[in-house]
Amino acid sequence: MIRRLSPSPLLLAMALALAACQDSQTRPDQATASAPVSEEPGQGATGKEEPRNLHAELRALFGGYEYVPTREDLMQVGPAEEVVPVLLELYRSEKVSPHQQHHALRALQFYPEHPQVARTYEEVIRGEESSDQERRVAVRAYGRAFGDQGLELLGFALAHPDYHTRASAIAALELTGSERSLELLQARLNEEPETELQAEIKRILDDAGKSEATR
Amino acid sequence: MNRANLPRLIALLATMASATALSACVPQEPADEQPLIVVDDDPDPTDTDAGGDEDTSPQPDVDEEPETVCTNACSSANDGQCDDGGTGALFESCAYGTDCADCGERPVIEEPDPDPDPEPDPEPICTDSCQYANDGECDDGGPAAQYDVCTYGTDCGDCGSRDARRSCNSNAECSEGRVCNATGQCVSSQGASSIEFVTLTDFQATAQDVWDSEFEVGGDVRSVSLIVEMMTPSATAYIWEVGTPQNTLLYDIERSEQSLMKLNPVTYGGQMGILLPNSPQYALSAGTYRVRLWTEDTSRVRVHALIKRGPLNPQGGTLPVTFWFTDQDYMDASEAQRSTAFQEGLEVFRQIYANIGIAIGPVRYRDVEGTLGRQLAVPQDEVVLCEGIRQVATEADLSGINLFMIDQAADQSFLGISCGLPGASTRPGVARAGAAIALAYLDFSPEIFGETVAHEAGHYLGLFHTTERDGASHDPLDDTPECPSSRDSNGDDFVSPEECINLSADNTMFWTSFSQGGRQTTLTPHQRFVLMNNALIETY
Repeated sequence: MIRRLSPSPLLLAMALALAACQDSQTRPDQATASAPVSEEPGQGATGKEEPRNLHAELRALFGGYEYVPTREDLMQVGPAEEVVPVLLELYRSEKVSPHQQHHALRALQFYPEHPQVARTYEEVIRGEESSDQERRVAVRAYGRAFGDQGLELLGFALAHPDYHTRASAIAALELTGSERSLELLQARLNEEPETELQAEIKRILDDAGKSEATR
Repeated sequence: MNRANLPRLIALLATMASATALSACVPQEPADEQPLIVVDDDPDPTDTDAGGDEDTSPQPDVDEEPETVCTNACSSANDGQCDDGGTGALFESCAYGTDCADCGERPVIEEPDPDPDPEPDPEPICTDSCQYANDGECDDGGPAAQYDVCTYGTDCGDCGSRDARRSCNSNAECSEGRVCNATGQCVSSQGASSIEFVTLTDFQATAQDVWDSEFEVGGDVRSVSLIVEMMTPSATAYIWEVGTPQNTLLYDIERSEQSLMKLNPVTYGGQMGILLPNSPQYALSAGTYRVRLWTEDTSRVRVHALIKRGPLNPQGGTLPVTFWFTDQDYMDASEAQRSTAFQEGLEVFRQIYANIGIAIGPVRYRDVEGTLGRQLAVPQDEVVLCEGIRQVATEADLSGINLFMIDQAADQSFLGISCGLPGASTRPGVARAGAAIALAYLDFSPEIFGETVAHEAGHYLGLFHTTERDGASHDPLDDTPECPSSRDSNGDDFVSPEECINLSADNTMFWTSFSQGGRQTTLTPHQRFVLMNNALIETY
């Protein structure tokens, strides 16, 4: 075994950038290529242009084994006024898999300005008929979309009877990372009935304290 | 490294391509570890007849009028959305032509309508997928075979069709020198593979440190699986270079696109596997190989090699599997053995691997108890997931691959994920890992669930996606058709299975599932080559 000098950070950055061009088995965040031109017989545009089928495009986007669609992917599909109604339809449709439903629900986070998005998340998070899985997806997505503006609803989720809904709310608040979100966690600390979630809240508060001290 | 930054880093690095593999010793199971072998002898034939109500099959008609199909037999017909999967349809939840009110009349298509007849007797096995097929000698190890270098039934041109009926369930039922293969026939064997375990390095790395590890390869070595083990699970390391005895670079992180070897060069949950060779494009040569490692964080680091010897062209192999059930509401280890949906999914997984000669088994079922069982059920990020999997799998110390059944990933909604590509192979005393699959999606489609299990196991054993979503990146194998971005007919910047028909859309390792219709049950001979090299699979 031979010890060597470290490569420079620049070298590493270059290497990572190169590698990022390659494939991934989890979730590549790299930009997508420009719109390709179909050259395969029977695949490209024929004389008659077919209208875009957003349902099909979104369902295909939501079918990846590991792939987690990004904001860029959704923006590529179309503007909010076209995409959000389809996302809502897919999320509520029994014709698609729960996997695609969850992705559709999650993807609403990229359109926080659309009036139906916050309302939908609130319905799912507060709704007694929502499945646990939907609610957890909504909590994480809502946290990403609204952050500090969504603390009231995240506070509701923080006290939800479902363990993993609370765990999702804690994770969402950690990601938000604002002073107010930490205050919310602090207020919840002694009320959380599960010791491991209490410990998780404490870890987040301690980490925040440490980073504050470093600053 | 700050834990909050790890998911981002992993996400970035996950975009990298690469692969090598590890090894795996395959220790004998102690008597009390005897697997609960699942025998799904109830392939429930109910509901297989799709042609119940309205017959949409083309009628023999000599009339010149184009024949059309128009019924409203579908349960979601006339709901304002066209659901029959034809031109302009929003969904495919109805059979073609059975949502006439929303879709209008449909021209009859002269396609063979998939109407899967339940067949009591399996079809004879007959493919020519073996590299030695059609060379004038029967090579599949079956009756009257001259050689046993092909999987049973894959040298059809020379051996003829092979009986697919199961005649054995274990080697004990076969005569001396023969083994019970993945599809249940006694075949001749070249002898079992063996694993030599060597710890190459054990050192205390500082942050941003670079180290070289070396290992010797002899002429009889079939493959080498390396395990990089960070004793601090949150610490991260990268493979920087892999050099051959001839001082050429098989892999260079700074020129990964040009490297002969494709790698995923980053640790997951503090572990990483590397498989050599992970493509038939290059072979191991005798001499000293060098692997350069870059550690991002301070940690004690150990690098091990699992050196595999055995048949050059194995006829088959076995992969022990442990299903771990986290603390979710769907099922525990005991219930899974009685769950029709789970067993159906398992059968899909079994069949995909059996097709290339790999028998899944022994199969074990275990519960993940306590706090960790609950945390892993709905992991909030993949770092937590992979660190937890490492902890459970390492403590259990079982041979083979560990597959964790979780509820869902609330923030990512993936079907499954592998902690490593390839993941660390198993070896007593060495940290282990595994892959996770979401049970939340089992009931919707046990077939897709089974394909997901096969897909994630494929990653863990060293297989890349045949085609990535952009159509620009592909695996390093020559016989997996590449679906190029030019097939993106709707301009949405990714290639769907429907756009990649005949271009590996039916391959288990395609980047995305069909989701509605379509199966992904194919693995190619080169993918088989990679799997057979992995130390987790005992070959014969």
